[in-house]
Amino acid sequence: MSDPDEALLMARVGELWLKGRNRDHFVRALHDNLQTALSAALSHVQVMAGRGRLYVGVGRAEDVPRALAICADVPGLVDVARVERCPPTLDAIEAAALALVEARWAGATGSFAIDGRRTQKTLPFSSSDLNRRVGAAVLAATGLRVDLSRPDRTLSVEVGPRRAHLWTAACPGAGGLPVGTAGGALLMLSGGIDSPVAGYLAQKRGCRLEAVYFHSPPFVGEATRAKVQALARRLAARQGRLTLHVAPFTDPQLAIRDHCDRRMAVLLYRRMMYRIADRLAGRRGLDALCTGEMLGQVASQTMANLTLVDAVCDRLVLRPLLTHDKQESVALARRIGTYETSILPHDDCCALFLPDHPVTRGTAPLMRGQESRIDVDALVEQAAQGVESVEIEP
Amino acid sequence: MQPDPPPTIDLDNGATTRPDPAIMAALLDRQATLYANPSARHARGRAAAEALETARGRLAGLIGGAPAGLIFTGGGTEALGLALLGAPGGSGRVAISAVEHASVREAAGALVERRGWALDVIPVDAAGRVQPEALTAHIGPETRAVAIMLGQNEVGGVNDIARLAPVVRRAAPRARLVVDAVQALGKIPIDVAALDVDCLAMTAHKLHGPRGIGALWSRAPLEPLLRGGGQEGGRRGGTQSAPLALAFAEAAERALAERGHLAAMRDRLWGGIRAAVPGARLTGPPCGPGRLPHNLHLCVPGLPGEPLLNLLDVAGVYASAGSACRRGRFSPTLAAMGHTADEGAWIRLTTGRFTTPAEVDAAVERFADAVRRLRRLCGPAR
Repeated sequence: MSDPDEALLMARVGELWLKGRNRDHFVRALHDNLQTALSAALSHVQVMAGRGRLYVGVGRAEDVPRALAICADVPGLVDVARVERCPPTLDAIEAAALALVEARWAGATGSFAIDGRRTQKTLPFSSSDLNRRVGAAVLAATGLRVDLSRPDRTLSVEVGPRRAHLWTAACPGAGGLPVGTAGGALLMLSGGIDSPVAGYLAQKRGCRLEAVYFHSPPFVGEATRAKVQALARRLAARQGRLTLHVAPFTDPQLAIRDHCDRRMAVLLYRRMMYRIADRLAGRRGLDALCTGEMLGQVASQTMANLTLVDAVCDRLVLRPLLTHDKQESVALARRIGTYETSILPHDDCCALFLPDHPVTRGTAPLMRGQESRIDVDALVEQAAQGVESVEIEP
Repeated sequence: MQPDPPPTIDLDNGATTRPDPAIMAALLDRQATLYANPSARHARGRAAAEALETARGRLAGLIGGAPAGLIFTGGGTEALGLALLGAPGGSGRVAISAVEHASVREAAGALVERRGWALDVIPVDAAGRVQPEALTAHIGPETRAVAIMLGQNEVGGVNDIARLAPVVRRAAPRARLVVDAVQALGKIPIDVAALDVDCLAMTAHKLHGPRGIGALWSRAPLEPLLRGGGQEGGRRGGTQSAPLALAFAEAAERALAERGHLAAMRDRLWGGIRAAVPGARLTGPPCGPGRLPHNLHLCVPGLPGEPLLNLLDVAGVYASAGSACRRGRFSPTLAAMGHTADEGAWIRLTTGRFTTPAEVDAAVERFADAVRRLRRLCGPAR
């Protein structure tokens, strides 16, 4: 860290410390995810593991805001801050604190506090020694008041056996768990608002995603496929890359249209999608499916109808949005940057070949009766065989 | 392994056109040399101003208007917005034909919302054109603006403005006649004096010119929409681009000179499709002087439209369902002509100067193939 242009970020990790023996695995995953996300956008960034912390060396100081924003979006971090470091002596810390305050708080008014902590009790001074010493120096050097209960700004100092770190502002992180530590899930990705949000929430709880999109040409256009790819690209950013499987769905839909009661078409389509996704997930070694379904949002997402789709698939189905409201989903979509893409017009294959009065509640015997009119296994196998897989880079 | 996609055939020249390479080369060259601000007093600025005025004169000459009436804009939408929203204040009514482009519909809507004007919609005949009797019935002494497009963007109908203008003068003497010539410029001869129009809107990108420049010719008073700098006679603020203006003028001249090719290719296309796709029907006026020469709009009965467009897309034939500016809703133009979505697949195919006979023949084959495939997919159950 001899280059004066180089900056250091310190990231604090969240729930990882609850995870006992898995801890190393989690930290390693987080380290790799951070490095991948940063390297995709910036050169000269190096993630390093420390005690209970991850550090990011940023080669060019002007990249710091961008690096902070990227870190704040990587699941598993509590917060991230640009830090200064110095030897763990009171003299050195005081000098570093004054330099930092001069750089960041020049001309500021109001109150401040020092939040000093030791990570080891073997140091030759106590935390209150530290706070008093640094506090007095800052008080003398600035026009700020001390306010320990509701300060306008805080200078944090963390002192370890070999180094002290100081910072004035930390960006909140995304929270959650590092992507990849909770296993793999196959996201059923349509062009709509909810499914990308569901994918993001699953990623945030540690899932590594692959995605499947059901394509019904020519009834659904290539523009819709391109839109889904754009959404997949947003999700890929959080995990390095993402495999998107495009499953041909025209034939199952035509079979249902031609041989089944069209009033039940939506439920029958969805059961076919779940079967194909389930088979695909098995082939890819993925533990779960993930969908953007919301309880009661539309007729196909009632409890009764969700039970009907769960019945055709062996895997766990993650529905991170199940109990969310639409407005909550929209707010999340805006935050993760998928909303603008999702609201572009697209074709919805579930809207094809529907009569004016669809059946909104099915039963298992009814479904099985309808499905006996088509060769379900052959159609599922044919679709699974026809899947076209694309690697999506962020 | 995916097979190589077929070479694409652009039959969506009504949406926009491929820039003419010769015009682009000259444009690029002038961007490097003729870049000065035409308002600057120095020699370079004067040269840019001279070039701008040359372009203005050539373009105005092409439509038989006085050069002083020609205002360069960012495109056709801005030109139409200026003609309508730039009308001086006061109360009144605005009448627009039922098949106007969204830029006119929405500008008229803004007059209603912001100024409290009343809106009258002039119905069209089955070919999408305004007839004098319908016009008379929907305008009056209160009417301040009448918008009737010259060449309809979806179905290609050419309005007989020379016959409609006297109706406007008689029935609505206070009205300005605003004519959208975005599709018509370079496709049919235009003479603003003979047509007796007050405002005529144009754009460069529909005739193999550059994107980003259009023009309004106007003899009616205008309040500027954009202020600052007093350019374009105080009617449109903002630094002008002499290179773009020259490229626009050149593109328009060249388009007009070579317009015969458009009709030849369109007629070949229609002949081919009529023979290969039984049942296909022409929408709008018959191919001839009453129709824009590059426009073919047809209906394939009994088929859905979007899937046919999707199949054409995959087959490398660029077509459109009508105006590229709307999607997912049934065309207001077709609705005004008395059509409905379930009649069949509505498709617009528009030729350009670079369309070749071989492309047309290949497009006919792919079109027929797409129709056959879709008929099979839509099957007897439909």
